[in-house]
Parts: sequence; C-alpha cells; structure tokens
Amino acid sequence: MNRAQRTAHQRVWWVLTPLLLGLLAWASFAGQDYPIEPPPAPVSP
Amino acid sequence: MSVKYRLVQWTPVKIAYDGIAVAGIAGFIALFTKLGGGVYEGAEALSSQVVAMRAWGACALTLLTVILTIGPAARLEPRFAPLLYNRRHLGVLLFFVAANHARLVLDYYHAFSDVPKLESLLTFDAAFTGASLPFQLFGAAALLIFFLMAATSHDFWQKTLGPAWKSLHMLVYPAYLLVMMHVAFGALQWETSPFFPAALIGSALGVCGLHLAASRASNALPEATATDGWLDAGEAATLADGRARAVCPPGGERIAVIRSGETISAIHGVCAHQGGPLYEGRVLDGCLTCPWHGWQYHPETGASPPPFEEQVPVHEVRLVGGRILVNPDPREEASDA
Repeated sequence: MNRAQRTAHQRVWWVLTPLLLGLLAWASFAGQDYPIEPPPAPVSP
Repeated sequence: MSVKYRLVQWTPVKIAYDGIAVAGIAGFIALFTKLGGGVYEGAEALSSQVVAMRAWGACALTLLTVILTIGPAARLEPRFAPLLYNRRHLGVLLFFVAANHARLVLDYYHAFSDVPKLESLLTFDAAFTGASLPFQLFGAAALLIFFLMAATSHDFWQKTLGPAWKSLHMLVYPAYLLVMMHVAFGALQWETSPFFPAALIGSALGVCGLHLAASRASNALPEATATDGWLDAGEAATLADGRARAVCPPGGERIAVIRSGETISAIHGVCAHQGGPLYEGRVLDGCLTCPWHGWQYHPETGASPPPFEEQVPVHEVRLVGGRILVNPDPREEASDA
C-alpha cells in the first residue's frame, strides 16, 4: 500500500474498532424483542 | 496477471482454491443445519426455514470474517500471502451466500405481506422506534455493498474506475459494521446463552486487533538516513539473493532494494496493481514478484515482462564501503514512462 492507503486503512480501523465494540456491547444488553417466527399464514376464505 | 481481460483466468491453483472454498461453504451449511436444528426443542424448536436462513447467514458472517482476516494476516506473516492471491473469489462467493440468506428471509418473513416482499422489508423494518433497530435494513445495505464489490471484482473494473475502485472496495469496512449490527440487533437478541455475544465480540476483537497490529507493523519501518542526498539501505552482504528489502525515504514512498545474483538494484516499492509491497516480494524468473497478486517487474528497468506494459520508477543504486546507497529521486526515463 502507498502512504495514502496505509493512512486511510489505519484511520478506518481506529474509528471502526471502538465503534464496533461499543455497539456490540450495547446490543448484548439491549434486550430487544423480535418474533423469531413470522405471523401465521392467512387462511383462504 | 493477464494481458487480456477474461472473466476468470483459471489455473489449477485457482480451481483448487475455489473448490476448497465451495466445499467449505457446503460443509458449513450442512453441519449448521444438522446441529442447529437440534439445539432448541419443544416450544422453542426452530422451524427448518429459520435454521436454513441462520445457516446461510452464519456462513456469510464467517466468510466475511475470514476475508477481512486474510489481508492483515498476510502482512504480518508472509506464509498467508497465497490466500490473498484469489481473495476476490471469496468476495464473490460471499455475495452469493449472503444473497441466498436474504432470499430465504424474504420468502419466509415477508411472504404473506399485502405488498411486494422488498417493499414489505423496507416499510416494515423502517418503522422502528427507540426500542427496535432496523436490523434487516442493516443487512440489506451490506448486501448492496457486497453486490457492488462482487460486480466490480475484476481487473477490468479496477483499471476503468481508477482510484474510485479502491474507494468502492473500502466500503467493505462499513459493510462489516452493518453486518455485525444486523446480527447483534437481530438474531442475537433472541439468544439467551452468553456464548453468542461472546463469540461475536471475540471475532470482532480478532479482526480489529489483526488490522491494528498489521498497521502498526507496517508503519514500524524506520525512515532511512541520507548521506549527500543518498539513502542508506543497509549492508549489501545481508541482502539475500532473490530477495528485496524496503528503504523508506523521509516523507516519500517506499523503495524496494533487490538483489538478483550479483546485481543490486532499486525500484518503486508499491505495486502498480493494488499497491502491494514489492519490497516483500521475491525474484522469480528474473523479475521481482509482488506477494499480493503476482505482478512482476524487472529489477533494473521497473518494466513488466512483455507483453505486459506496466512500469514502476527505477532508482539509482551505488555501493560504498559494503553499504547500499539509493537515490531517493527516481530516474527520469522510468518516471516518465
């Protein structure tokens, strides 16, 4: 990689790492409730 | 490296690489389906459709993690460089695996909507509140990025798009973030075992840690000291035949100093293809060969062997007291080419 690419990659990972780990930590305790199965299929009249 | 554009320039190595990748994907899906179906029982038992979409989704996440690991692993340990040669094949496979996961989701969760499946996905998932995040849209946005990357994963597009190609393919990093959010705020919310968040955070730590370590190692090369405007590239006797070393001009691009037999020469250290580190390459068939994708340059002319027309700048070299001195300014005829 040339200097510009090396710098860009480095900046990306310095930003991405705390952002990603912070969001994952939040998600681990978020406790959101999504239905695992879809609603039952409509019955034909 | 090909003088003409072909969809895929198949070689025995590429066939073996793709064969192993496809077999690995098939094995992952089969194993996940077999094991995943039996994890929950009774009222919590998962339907075969949910197991299938989780199998393809987990496979896509694993493949993306592997793809993101190959680059820094190869920079830290050259033995992994062969995995880098055909990494774009894995990227294309990732798109197809992720697309099948999306197809299964649309055919199950959005199959009975009054509106088209895609519209159902966008309208249902976009109607989120502070208590719910649109995790399906995160996945859809990542899939769109994977499509753009897979569609342009070819030297033709790299040359046609120029610098925009690299920017486009760096979107894999936000796509990784989107995929992790898709999983963390989707499937992970349903799981009660601490194993799943731990595994997800562990894989993220691994990927991020490898990239940061590779960046650190890459920046660790000290800048060369200059004597009368010439850079000291170390002792000539310690440069092995057929190998290269880097010399870093202050504020400039790295230069590859190469020994080929009794001849020591120097060329630009950055490959014209994807910016690979030529100074980590070897001399094969008389040419310095990039460790990333095998592009070749003659050590004394900087030119790729015919019929290829690539050219990198050449630097003058002289030996003084057993030490290699390199002119930081490239020869004019090479830089004009």
